[in-house]
Amino acid sequence: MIQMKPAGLALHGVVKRFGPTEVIPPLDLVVVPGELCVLVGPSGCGKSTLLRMIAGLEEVTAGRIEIAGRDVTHAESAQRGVAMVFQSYALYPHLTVRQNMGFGLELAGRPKAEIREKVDAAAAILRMTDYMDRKPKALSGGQRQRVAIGRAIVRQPDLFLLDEPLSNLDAELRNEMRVEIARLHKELGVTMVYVTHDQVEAMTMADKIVVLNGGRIEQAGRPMDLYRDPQTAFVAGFIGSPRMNFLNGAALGEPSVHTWGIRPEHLAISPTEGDWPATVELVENLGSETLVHLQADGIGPVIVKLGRDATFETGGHVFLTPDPSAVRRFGADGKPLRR
Amino acid sequence: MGVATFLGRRAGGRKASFTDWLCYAYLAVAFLTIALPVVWLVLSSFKPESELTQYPPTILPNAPVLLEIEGQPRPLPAYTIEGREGVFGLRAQVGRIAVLIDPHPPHEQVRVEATTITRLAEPHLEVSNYTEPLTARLSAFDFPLFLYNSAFVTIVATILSVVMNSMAGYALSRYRFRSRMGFLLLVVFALMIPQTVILVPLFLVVNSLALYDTLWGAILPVAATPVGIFLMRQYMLTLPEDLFEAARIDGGSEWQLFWRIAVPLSMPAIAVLAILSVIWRWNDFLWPLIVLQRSENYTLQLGLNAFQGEFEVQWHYLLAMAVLSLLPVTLIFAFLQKSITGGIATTGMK
Amino acid sequence: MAMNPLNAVGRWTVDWTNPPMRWLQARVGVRRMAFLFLLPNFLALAIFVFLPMLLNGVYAVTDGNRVLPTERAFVGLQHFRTLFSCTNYLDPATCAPEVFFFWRGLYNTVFFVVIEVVCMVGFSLATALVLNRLVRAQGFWRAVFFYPVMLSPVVVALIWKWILDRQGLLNGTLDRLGLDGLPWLLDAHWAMFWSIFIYVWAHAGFYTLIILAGLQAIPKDLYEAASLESDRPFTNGRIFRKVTLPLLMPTLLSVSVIAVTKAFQVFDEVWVLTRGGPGTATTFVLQSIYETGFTTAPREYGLAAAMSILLALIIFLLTGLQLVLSNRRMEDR
Repeated sequence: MIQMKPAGLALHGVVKRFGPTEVIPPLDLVVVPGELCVLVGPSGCGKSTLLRMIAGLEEVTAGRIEIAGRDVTHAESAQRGVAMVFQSYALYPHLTVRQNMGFGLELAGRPKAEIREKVDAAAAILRMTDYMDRKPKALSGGQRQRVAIGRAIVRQPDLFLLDEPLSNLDAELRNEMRVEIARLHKELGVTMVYVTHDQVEAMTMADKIVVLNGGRIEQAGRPMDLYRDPQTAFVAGFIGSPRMNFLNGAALGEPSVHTWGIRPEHLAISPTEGDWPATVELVENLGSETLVHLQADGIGPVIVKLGRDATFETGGHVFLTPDPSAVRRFGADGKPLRR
Repeated sequence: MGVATFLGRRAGGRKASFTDWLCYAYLAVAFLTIALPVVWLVLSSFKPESELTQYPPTILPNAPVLLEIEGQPRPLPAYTIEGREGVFGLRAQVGRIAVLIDPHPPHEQVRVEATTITRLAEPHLEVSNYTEPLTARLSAFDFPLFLYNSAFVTIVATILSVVMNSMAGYALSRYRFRSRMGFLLLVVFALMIPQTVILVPLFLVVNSLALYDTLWGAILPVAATPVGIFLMRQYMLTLPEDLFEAARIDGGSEWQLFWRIAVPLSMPAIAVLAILSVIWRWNDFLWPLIVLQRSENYTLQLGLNAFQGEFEVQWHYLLAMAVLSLLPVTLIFAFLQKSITGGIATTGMK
Repeated sequence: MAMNPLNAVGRWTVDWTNPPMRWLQARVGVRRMAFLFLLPNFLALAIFVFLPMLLNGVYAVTDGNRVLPTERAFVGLQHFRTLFSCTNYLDPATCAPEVFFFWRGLYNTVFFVVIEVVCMVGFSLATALVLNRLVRAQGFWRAVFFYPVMLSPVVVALIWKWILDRQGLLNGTLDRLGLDGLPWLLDAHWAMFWSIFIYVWAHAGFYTLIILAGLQAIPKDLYEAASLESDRPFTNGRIFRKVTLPLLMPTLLSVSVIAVTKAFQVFDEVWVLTRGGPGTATTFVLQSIYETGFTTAPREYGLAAAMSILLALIIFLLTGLQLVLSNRRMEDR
């Protein structure tokens, strides 16, 4: 049946250059066996390139890639023991679901009975048994996504690579599939490297988040560590929604601070008293929470997130009070200032 | 609703203008000019030899009515005589005098002016025009063999074209390598050199390869169609790269990627190329004329050409074999008209 | 699912050929496999197109009836001197006898090309405009006009030879109308007329198709914009002159380039129809090359190669000239 032997992944000083432009400067990363590691960052940060280098679809300019302790830097994709789920799903339109899922094994010339058994097992895990004879165009987006994952499972890879697998789904399906992938990860106990630009996906799914920016790793660690203790202003801004309020240190009377950060949920709002007088500009009621956009006098625009339903009059005057323990201060280099 | 109002209807329910009627007239005349010759060929191909020489020509395939008359060695063609009842058999016509015999006893002989008699004919399809050349050899003309040669050249050349062109189109669309532009330029270059300006040296090359007067000599020089490379490349450029990368990760070799993914997904383009190639090869004339010498190597087109160049042209056989040569192309066209015209409109090549 | 058997054949083929290919891929790498895919087609092109093109030059400067270039005597530009030996180029009779047919054929071809291209483009344009107006059954009519393109040139010639026969349909019809028939293909002028007519008959569908595609690529809102901006009401003729024709110009130019290059190579239909006759009235340049190189004894390969080079030059020059002219007209606008 389907059994995986999770493998570790290690990148040592990996560099990628396209001509004269360096997309990824020397980069080191270790993913321990069984871990779900999410590479997250804005578009163009090099996360997909990194994943494609791990998959062997993109040549490595310099450095070394190891999978399960084996140097695969110059190995062909097929020899790396990886499976990849593509953003477009990359389903073969001329094959049925069953043929799609068994395609890798068939290419490898495995016996028909074995292919059938493994495909059926994967279909059962993914609850796709009823759709096996359909062509991809007769499937819904979510089902296509399952087939793409099934195709990866069938090959029993040491390492799963997922390239923005949910970005083509609508919001509801995306939540559903997010849970599904997390469940699969637990059930199968595999190592996964998951690329996304969506920090919500990263926060909810990851054992380890790696935040990339301009090809560099800004910070790697467990989701809540990144949330609580961002090592750079970029990470502080990227993780968390809505993003952290960045204010000018000088305006707050702390000229040594380049960027003064406070998350929207760490600001208290009061109609009568507080540290900063502010004007309400816009109120977004999301039901379970409320986002208040304000203009703090002499400080700048600020967003406050309240974990409740609240009403404020647009143009009304209120007072804001930051939670001092939650304030993050960054220098001009984006590194946090310790006091 | 009458035909005129139906034809006169236009989008938006507007009434047909003078320009519209001019267009319909144009279409009608053009239709006749195009269809009439072909229809005439088909009708004529079913006429008996004696009927083909009738002047002025008759429209529908007819055969003369023959009368068995007692005392006559062979059946006589039936005629009516102006001003007389009944049918007579024409025994002889000397100058302007015709000699006819009454089929009923006492077999009276009638001499009249030739202008007063009218031949009797009945509808008749002379199928032997087709069956005879296909079953018996007409002197040096072995039409079943020509047919076989044409089919062999067409099928083999088409398979070769499709395989070679898809492989080249695949390489030029799905791989990035430094000399790719150079190869594309070579294709353009090959497109610009008409075969007609390299006949002599091509003949030498074919001769040196011992292909002269063989069917392979008619196949190989034309199978590497540069147009086909373009057609396949343009189509394969539209296939998503992800499919190929997924197969690479799944352990597929490049060879498998081509056959198992690129080829099945390019079937629409391959079909267009195959159809075009069948038509090109079936109709090829000048190059086979040069390279095929002995009549046992003739394709159907060469056979038709030689047959009509004979001193006594046997039109009844010739027309039937011409219809036969139109048949495959016409059938293909009837069923696959859309992909042919579509393919030609996109490549700009015929 | 008609293609399924084909897929099965492909799968079977790849299954047994894959092991050596995989081995090769392991040796040379993924990227260089591209050259493997290029190999068959480009090998064939090299042998049957590029090599002959180079050999053309070798043949043109050597003489003899031997096929192998190594066995042929170098004669320099002798064949070209023979080609350009006429005392009066307008009168082929003053040329060397072995190139008489070439020059005769060249003049006939030039005459043919000029008339044929004008008729071809005019007729195709008219047809395309009519087809483009059609609201329904456009596909049917397109097919009708395209059908002759699919027919073999030999059969096209046979059909018309049969119709133009002394006792053929045309003379018979004229007879019934009380007019006198003619031996059409035995009269020099009528033979040329019918050559052009039949060539246009057989190929106009192709050009119609291309022009129609060009017409349909013109955005519909351009017509609406034009009629809105104009202070004078738009007649069909004015729309055609002000909107359609300028936008169709690139298509028409490329169509006429194709038409000219094709017409210069006219051979099949006319040769089967008239064998170049009566006399030399419909002898075209390709026929003279064919006869010089392949039917006269001894075969004059060298001279035929020289003629081919001249024909190629003419075609290239005319194509180039048309492209330059069209570029200039584009820039003027």
